[in-house]
Amino acid sequence: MPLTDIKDGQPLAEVLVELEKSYPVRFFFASEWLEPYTVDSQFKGMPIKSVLDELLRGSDIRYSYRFGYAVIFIRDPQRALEHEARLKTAIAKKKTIESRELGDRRKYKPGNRATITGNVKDESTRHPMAGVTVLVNDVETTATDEKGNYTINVLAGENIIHFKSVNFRERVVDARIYSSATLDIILEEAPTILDEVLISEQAVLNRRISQTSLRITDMKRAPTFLGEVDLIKQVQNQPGVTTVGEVAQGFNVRGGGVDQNLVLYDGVPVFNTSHALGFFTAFNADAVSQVSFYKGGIPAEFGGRVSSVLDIKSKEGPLDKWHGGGGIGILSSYLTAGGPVKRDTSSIMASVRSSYSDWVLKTIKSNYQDIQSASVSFYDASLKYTHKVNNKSKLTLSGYTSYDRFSLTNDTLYTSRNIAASIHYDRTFTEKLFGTLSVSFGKYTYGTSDDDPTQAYDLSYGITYPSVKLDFNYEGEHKLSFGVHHTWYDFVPGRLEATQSESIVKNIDMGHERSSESALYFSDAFYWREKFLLEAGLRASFFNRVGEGVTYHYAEGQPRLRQNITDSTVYKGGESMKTYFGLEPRVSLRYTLDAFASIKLGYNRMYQYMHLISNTAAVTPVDIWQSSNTYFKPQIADQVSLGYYRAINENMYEAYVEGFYKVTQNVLDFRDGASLILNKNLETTLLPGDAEAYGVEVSSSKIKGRLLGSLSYTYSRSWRKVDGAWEEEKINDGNRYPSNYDQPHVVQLNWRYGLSRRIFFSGTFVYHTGRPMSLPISGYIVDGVPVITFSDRNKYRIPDYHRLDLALIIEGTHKRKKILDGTWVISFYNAYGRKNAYAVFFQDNGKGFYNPYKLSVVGTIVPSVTYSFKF
Amino acid sequence: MRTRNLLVLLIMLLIGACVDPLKVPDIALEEGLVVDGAITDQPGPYTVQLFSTLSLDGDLDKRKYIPGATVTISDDHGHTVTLTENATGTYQTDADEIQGVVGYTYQVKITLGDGRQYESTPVLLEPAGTVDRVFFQFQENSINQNDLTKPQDAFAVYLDATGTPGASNFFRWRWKGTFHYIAFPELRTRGVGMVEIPDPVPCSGWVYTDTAGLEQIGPCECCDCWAPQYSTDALVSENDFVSEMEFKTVRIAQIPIDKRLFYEKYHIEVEQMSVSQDIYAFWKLVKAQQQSATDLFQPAVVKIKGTIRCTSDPGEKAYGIFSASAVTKNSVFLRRLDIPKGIPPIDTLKTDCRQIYTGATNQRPPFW
Repeated sequence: MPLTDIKDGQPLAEVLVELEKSYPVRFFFASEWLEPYTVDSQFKGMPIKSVLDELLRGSDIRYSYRFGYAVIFIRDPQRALEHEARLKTAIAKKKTIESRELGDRRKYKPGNRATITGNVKDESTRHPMAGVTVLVNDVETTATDEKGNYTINVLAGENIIHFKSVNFRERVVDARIYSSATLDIILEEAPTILDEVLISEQAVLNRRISQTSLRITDMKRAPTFLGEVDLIKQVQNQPGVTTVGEVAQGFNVRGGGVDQNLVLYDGVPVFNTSHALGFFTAFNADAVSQVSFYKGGIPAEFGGRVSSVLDIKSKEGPLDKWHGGGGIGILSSYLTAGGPVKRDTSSIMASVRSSYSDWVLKTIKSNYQDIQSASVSFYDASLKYTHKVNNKSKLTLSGYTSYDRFSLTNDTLYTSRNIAASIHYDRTFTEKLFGTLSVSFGKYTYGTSDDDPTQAYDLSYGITYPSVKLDFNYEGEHKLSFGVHHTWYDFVPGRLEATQSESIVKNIDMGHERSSESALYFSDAFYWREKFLLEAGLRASFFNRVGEGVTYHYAEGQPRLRQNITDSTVYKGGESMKTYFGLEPRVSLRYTLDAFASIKLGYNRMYQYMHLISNTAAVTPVDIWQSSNTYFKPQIADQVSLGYYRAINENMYEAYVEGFYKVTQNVLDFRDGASLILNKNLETTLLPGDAEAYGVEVSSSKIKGRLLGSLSYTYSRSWRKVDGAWEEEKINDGNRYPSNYDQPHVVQLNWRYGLSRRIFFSGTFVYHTGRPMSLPISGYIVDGVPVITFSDRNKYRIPDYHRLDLALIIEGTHKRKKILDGTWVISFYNAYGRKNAYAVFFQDNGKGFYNPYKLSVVGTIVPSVTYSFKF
Repeated sequence: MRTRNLLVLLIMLLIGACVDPLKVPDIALEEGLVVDGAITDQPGPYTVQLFSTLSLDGDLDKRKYIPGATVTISDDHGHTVTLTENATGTYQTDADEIQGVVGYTYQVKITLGDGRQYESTPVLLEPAGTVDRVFFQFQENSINQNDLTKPQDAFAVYLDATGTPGASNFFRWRWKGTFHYIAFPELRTRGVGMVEIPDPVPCSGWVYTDTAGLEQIGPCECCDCWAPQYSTDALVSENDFVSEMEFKTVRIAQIPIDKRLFYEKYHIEVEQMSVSQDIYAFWKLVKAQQQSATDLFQPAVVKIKGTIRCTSDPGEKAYGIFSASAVTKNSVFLRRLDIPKGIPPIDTLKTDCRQIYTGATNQRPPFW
């Protein structure tokens, strides 16, 4: 059956019908199957068999010749069946499916690949949405970038594309793709429903190694401590993250110190993430839109801290109409509101949270008159203004502040304040290239004061850090990012002033320590042979400590002690005192084994040019931030992480195991008996050493269904070694010893069970090995004064920590259009009243010696009720 | 800084925090030799005591002294004296055998009965400077962390001191307080069946007989007493912040306003002792340990080495110090009149006043 009479571009179906007329043959097919296929003159004279073979190669259409006359066309059963199954699943899950045809029908060639690009926006705010997961035929493929853009490469034909983002209604597109095309999507906010698809913003297979996105809904539906929704406590629930206790600011990542975490609020570092000494987080979860957390494989755009990055992006105000919300708790209340200043052009978002806890203190009856005259208060506030200058550029102003104040005995006052303000100018140059210019100002001040006339003083510390950043992103086959950052630092490492004339306090001013940190970075992410996603980057950082200042010189061949000072060099203002340069390679590699499994590898080197000087395990109000100088070399961390990730049972579960090894150089530890406050020769009291940490994190989560949750176990160790040249410069005789955060076994469990569409029962359980401590082991009296001998540093441990928190969350009805949407959260923190030791301290046993006691900061079950609402 | 303790205390109460004794793992006591000895520029005898470290739950009053050792003190001018063991573990020089001289360097050497040998780091005896003034200030609500069950008000005692030009001027201060109080030993009673009958303490000068009842037969020997108090804090000069050699308004002591302590007045005598750099470092660490040990935040570990080492076996643990000091003194009376508030009268102590405080005596001190 050769083809004789055919025209260019004649549809195949037509040709077959023609053939039926001339030959004793019948073709059985559904016309839409063959719709895309046309014949042209090159096939003239060829037998039909060859023509069909040629045309249908690589497509899902097969044919067979039967009964001597019939040619039966069939769709490839496998691909077709899969397609049907997916549609059925989607329908069963009550998802709305939209059918779309994409591309130019004439360009359709079966087996061709097509590139679909598009943009995803939020229906209410019209802002582009970053991190929206795009699944093609149930296989997670990509996620939208910061501009809401995505690109997928698919086999032409029928494909089902899902767009998912937490808190948004999922969109399912049954797309018949003929050729490359664009597909823009608008997602609308989902009323929180029971079967909410709780894929994280990017599922485990697709995330970078050691990266997590924290879900705001998770935070809001988790048990709280005294009713405060707590972002940092969610971070502490991540595998590989620990904390030294309830009254601990910040968190420890993979055996690192609290000062090694870079916490960014709209791109500006925030030094103090806590209120009330660490009891609560200084961020209002209602004003936060996105939280990404990196504990390894850190991208090149981040730098300056060696352990982790917590990148918090605040919410932008909606562009169409005003929305808001608030919450009323035991300790504090908050209010957020946002809306258009000019519809579709500019918007504003504001939030305020403030404590009113004084009355709680006033109601406590106690022998301690301090308590009744004390006051504890804090607030935080944020403001964001977004303005679309035109289609290609956007201006964002963001401001954040937090303030803390404790007043005790009417005299002693502790205060702390953060300010983080920034201006971002985003501009799209071409479809693929966009850039952001950011100018920011940050300030962190803290101190204590006393107004008792005879000892009135004010001890203040601070860091001021204005910064300029220019970042570019190029979205192509290679996803490039590059930029330049510069930050000026002005540290006030301590200023003691007598505040009243009678005061006996001597004024001591440590002056200012000024420095600057610049960085240049470049990174490239690309697919290699489809299965490999490689992201490689390099960051070059440069640090300059500038005058004015004094560098003391110590006698060579002698321990660095105050009595060995031989000379000093005085530097004038602006003069360079010490410079450091660091090259920081970053690599992150993903190898996709199949649709359900991947292997990831990460390596990063990070430089940190500032140090938190402390001689306690927990961060306290009088700890000192100190920039690098001649003696305090930058901390340099090298970390390798490797993991295996797997999605199980149609993405119902996910599980991973990840191991890491990290070494950090130039970590400072204090010399025994170090006096840190207002010490002009801090280098004599701090010893540089090396830190080593390694561990394995195993985690499994159920991410779909009524019951959601995760269980993880981490085994890790964190060591320090301080082995100077002299006996005075060694700790524990130069042997390695566990760091303050060495907690080998950590188990974390959290769950959320939907009792109904509106009522959730959630809980958290944590267990970790008690952290190390040193114990007094014997004593003696010399000239009437008791003296205690201590064990080696961190030789013993405080008792193991475990705690269960429970919560019942009752949300309002889920109608989309309603005036007020209220939620009640009833929490029980420390549900079984475990007296976990926060600290071990020593009390005089009446003979001048000390016996150890444990302090349990939370010694009982702590119930709380919070009401929050949205409008 | 006590601020931090209070901070935590405050929040603790909010959320039911609590403090419990910690069960510490059984720690094998590391027994080591402790040396407590000194020489001064004041007349001797000088004492060197040898004893063992104690476990912290042990009874500190029962020191385990180490007898049978040979102890010598030598200087860098060729003198060596051997000490005599006057009481178990307590070795003393003869009264006029040796006296410390400013500018000399001293060292102690010890050979224990089992042959182990120890020596101290040689210490230079430096000049003492002067204590220019000891003065005080009444401070309300300044002690006991506002625990209302305890005294709140106190006298803070300060000193002004001056060092010696050209010397290193590292100082340690210690003080001795003396107060006068009264007791009523004649009022003691005892129960006989259902009734209380007088039972005066014999030293009260009163007797009780069934026939004559209470009767004074002589003067009271135990009604007026003077008791000493000693500093237990490590007090050292803060040479860091002092460019010259003047130490102004150094807080030395805090004397609580107490009805017994201020029955009449309180005498405080401060000794300023020059110390060598090593000894200064030792006391400085003890001070750091005292300040941080009771911190509710993780107390800083302060390992204190001392200046004694074992020469026969470097691995052997040894603690304590041997110091050489020049001493200068000054004193002041804190009077009841100086307290700007009324204080309650002394309670009725119905016993021998000498038994109320350790070291109490019925002998009026010469300076009283």
